[in-house]
Amino acid sequence: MINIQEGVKLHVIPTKTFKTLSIQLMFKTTLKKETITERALLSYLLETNSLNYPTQTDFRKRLSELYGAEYYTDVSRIGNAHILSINMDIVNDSYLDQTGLFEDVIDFLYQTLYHPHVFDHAFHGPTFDREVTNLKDEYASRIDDKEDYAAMKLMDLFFESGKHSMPILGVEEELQKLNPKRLYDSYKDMLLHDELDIIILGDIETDRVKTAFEPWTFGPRSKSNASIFQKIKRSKVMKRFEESQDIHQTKLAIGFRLPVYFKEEDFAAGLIFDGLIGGYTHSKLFTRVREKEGLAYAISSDLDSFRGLMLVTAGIDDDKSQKVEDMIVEELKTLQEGHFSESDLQLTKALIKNEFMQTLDHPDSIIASLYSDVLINGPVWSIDDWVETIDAVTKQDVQRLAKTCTQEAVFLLRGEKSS
Amino acid sequence: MIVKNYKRLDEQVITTLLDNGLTVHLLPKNNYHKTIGVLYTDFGSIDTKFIPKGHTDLKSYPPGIAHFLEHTLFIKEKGDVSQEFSKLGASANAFTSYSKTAYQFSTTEHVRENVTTLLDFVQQPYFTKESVEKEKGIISQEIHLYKDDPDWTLMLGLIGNLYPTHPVSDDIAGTEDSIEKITPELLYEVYDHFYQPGNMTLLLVGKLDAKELIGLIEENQLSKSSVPSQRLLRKEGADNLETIIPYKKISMQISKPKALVGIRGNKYNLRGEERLRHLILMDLLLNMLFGDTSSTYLAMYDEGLIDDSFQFNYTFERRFDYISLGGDTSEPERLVDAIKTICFNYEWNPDINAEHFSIIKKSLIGQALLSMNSLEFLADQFVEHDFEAVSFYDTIDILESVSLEEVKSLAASYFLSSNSSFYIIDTE
Repeated sequence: MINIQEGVKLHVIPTKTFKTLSIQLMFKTTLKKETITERALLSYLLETNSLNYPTQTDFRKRLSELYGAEYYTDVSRIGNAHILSINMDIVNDSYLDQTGLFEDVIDFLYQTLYHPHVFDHAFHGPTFDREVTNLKDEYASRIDDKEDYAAMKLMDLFFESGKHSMPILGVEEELQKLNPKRLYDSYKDMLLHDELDIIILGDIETDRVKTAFEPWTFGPRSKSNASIFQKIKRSKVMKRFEESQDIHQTKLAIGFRLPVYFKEEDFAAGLIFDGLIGGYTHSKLFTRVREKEGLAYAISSDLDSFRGLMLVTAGIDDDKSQKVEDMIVEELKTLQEGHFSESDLQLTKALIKNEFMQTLDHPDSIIASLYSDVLINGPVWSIDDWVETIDAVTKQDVQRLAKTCTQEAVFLLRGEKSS
Repeated sequence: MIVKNYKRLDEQVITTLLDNGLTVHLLPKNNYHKTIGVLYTDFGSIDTKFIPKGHTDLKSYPPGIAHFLEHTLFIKEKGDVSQEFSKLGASANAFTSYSKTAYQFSTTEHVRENVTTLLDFVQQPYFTKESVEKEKGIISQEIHLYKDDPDWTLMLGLIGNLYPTHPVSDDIAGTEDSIEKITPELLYEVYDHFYQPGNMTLLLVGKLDAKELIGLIEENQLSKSSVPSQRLLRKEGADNLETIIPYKKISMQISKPKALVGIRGNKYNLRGEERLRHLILMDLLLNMLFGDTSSTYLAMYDEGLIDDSFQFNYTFERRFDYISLGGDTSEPERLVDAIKTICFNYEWNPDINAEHFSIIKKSLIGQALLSMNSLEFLADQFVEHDFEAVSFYDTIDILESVSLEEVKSLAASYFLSSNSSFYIIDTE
């Protein structure tokens, strides 16, 4: 890791596994309800054009000339951090009869970020308007994907409509408040003040990377002291909401509080608990609800270890929804009472380790894992550290953790056409 | 055993044909941690008519039977075989397409044991009344899941228009009524016909010791001497491709209308290098006309006729091939007209020029190299297409050799308005 400037770091991850180079720029700020929509729109604009490539066609033609370089932006929420990332995947030019592709790509990125499509201190009007429309369409289409819709509604219940439940692409009320000038101001603010991590992965010399970034100028920026983890308190009442739609399948989404945080104590036990209850085909929910009772095609659990939350989702017949809900609660109780075998425990450990090893084969996952370590400013685990931490978890650890898991919210999207 | 080395890419494909007819492909990538194994049969949802063993006439089977078999094959006397894989640190998966059924594991350890488990579970069927009945409940939930997906409805709608009398117009999973007719006896008949080693391929990609694994696979297959060793004779009768439904429109509870234009082709019999070349030419053609570097794409985008959901695909399967183009739009009829105009007037299209051709070529070369990072992608490519003497790894050499004239002549032979149809889903 190289400190380029206060708050700006360059990470080069050398590997010969891939025929590509991955480039990711992570702009990080503290999660605030007010800036979620703004940043979502910024990510759309930065993906569309720039001053030198003012139409989408010019912009995309340039990327095609750069041997089909993939370029995309993203916004995400990790615990209390709000991240806008600029990402590129390009061919390593050692596979081409051309040199300097990396330098050309970094120059393209420089042009895009330092010379966006701006006139008179405001984003180009027609581009702004079109991307606002696209984002509005995105909001309107939320209702089309029933699983995402149910999960979104559950988050609303769980976090009581705050910065943690607002969809990461924002909401229409906030979007209406934005204009091209105000958005450009917040873009400048992001460029100047956000903590920035530049991550490069692939078979490339660090010196070549440093040289390519020399023309970039960065001012110093202060580091945020806020905790990355969102530690939620237990709710006094179990929150519940139902809604009906003209669909064939009922969607059940349940939110549990589970005090498990990335690389803190109980992190490994949390991964195992999540795996035992709904992470795999041998898990309690899959074997009972799908295999034994034949009540669902899809049922699974998912852990968010930056917010201490576990989500269980299932697609079911409407008249079986109470039955399935009861089963989920019963299976949690089963784990709390320690009714799971040593072999189930070992199986879950083996699968978690397998999954971890598999992430090493994907550039994106390697980068995500490095960035998670940056976010917690915490320990870097070697492969052996991971394996040892998982292996050290005992049945008692899992049972003890299971007892701290509490059901907080239920959302049911009822299918009117369900048989 | 044939070993093909791709020096420029630093890749290798090893192929061997076993005595019992099973084909084995190995793609070693020893920098990776993972190994993917796929055992697949040339049998999919469209194969609902054939002459079973002991019969002399064609017999019809319920739509969805290939997918049903895929599900049920996982269930053994001792329970779900997924858990055998779990015990070996692997995750297992399977899918059924129109013309293939594939069983897959993915692991970072115990590769030998996982290969054996894969071969054994697929080659030792165990269908009972009980398992078949329980699976009906799960699969009807799966059918419901897709019914609520408007994009799935749109695609099925278009296929129904393009192929009204062809088995591809049946949903891969069948219907609740059709799967109700499935019995263990029917599953055994289908299994005996299509799961012969001569109709199957085993593919291994990733971290692997080729010599050791070929030995293991040979030994495993020898121990199952009872399995017949013939290539499958396909006698399903000719498909009726005379009719086409020109358009259909429905409405659903969605946020924005959707439109999809389809053009049916007749290239599905192309084989080997010719097939790969054809797929590459089609990729070039569609990207030149509809990709995000084309002037028509920008015009449609600026007019608000399309958004980022706009897609074009070329589907190429054993008994059919078609292009589909479209997405979410506020003006579905106008989008349909715009797409048709571009296709059927390609001769005058300003995007069909040498400069654009070379830009798209570069882009596709880059995309092919980028995609080789993913073992999953490579496995899917090999399962989807058998290019015989060549392989997906030949893509870059072929891309460098194709000419603009070839692209133009493909357009001339494919873009026939009498082969086209469209499907619209409007808001309620």
